[in-house]
Amino acid sequence: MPRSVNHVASRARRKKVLKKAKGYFGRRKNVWTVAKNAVEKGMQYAYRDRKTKKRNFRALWIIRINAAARERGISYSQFMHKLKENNIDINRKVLADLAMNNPEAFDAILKQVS
Amino acid sequence: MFVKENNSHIFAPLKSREMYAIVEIAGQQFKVEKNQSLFVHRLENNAGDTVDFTNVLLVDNEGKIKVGTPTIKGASVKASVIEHVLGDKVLVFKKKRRKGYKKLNGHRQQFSKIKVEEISI
Repeated sequence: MPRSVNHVASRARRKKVLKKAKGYFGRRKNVWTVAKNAVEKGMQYAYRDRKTKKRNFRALWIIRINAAARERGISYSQFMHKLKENNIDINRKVLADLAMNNPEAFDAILKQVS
Repeated sequence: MFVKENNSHIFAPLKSREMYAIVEIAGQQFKVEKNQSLFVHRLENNAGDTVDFTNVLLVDNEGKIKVGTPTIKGASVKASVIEHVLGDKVLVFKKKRRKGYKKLNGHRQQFSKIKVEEISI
């Protein structure tokens, strides 16, 4: 019976991972044992950071809203509290955007709540 | 085909002193202008339909700003559904060390491309 070998399949399997390691530093891009770990770790970080991205952006929006609010003599927490009291539902993403690009709209919101 | 940063338009300054509205579409709030097209979470409607979004939170009509509490009564944003598309593929990879647990899934989020036809107060 002829001997069966698996070279082609294992080569293809490794090639798939090495392709994802393109552009990595040093041996991580072309040594199988190192590249495999690097790619797996990278994908784990990507999974985690898709979640942390949401927190990071929210933190950034809060910083921007705080800056805009303090320019107008009110703190972030006071401002958000007043929005809630006045039943205004605009979220932080949009508020930060308005503070940056449409300051007059931000003024109008502040005027309505104070 | 699909823009990577789905919300990139929201941080771009709008072209002029045109009318814009803050509207809630499929759970997210967007700043929209007339004739702007944007990607939102998949809507139930068929491609080609027009949809009315009545959760309008703020309207700026060339300087005259109305803030809703929480929405503006009678205001609506009319948009047409252009197409339904899939976002870029995301590789969902999970692994636990020393436990023999490894999983690789692909995922493509569904989006709808819509075009804003009219903002009415």
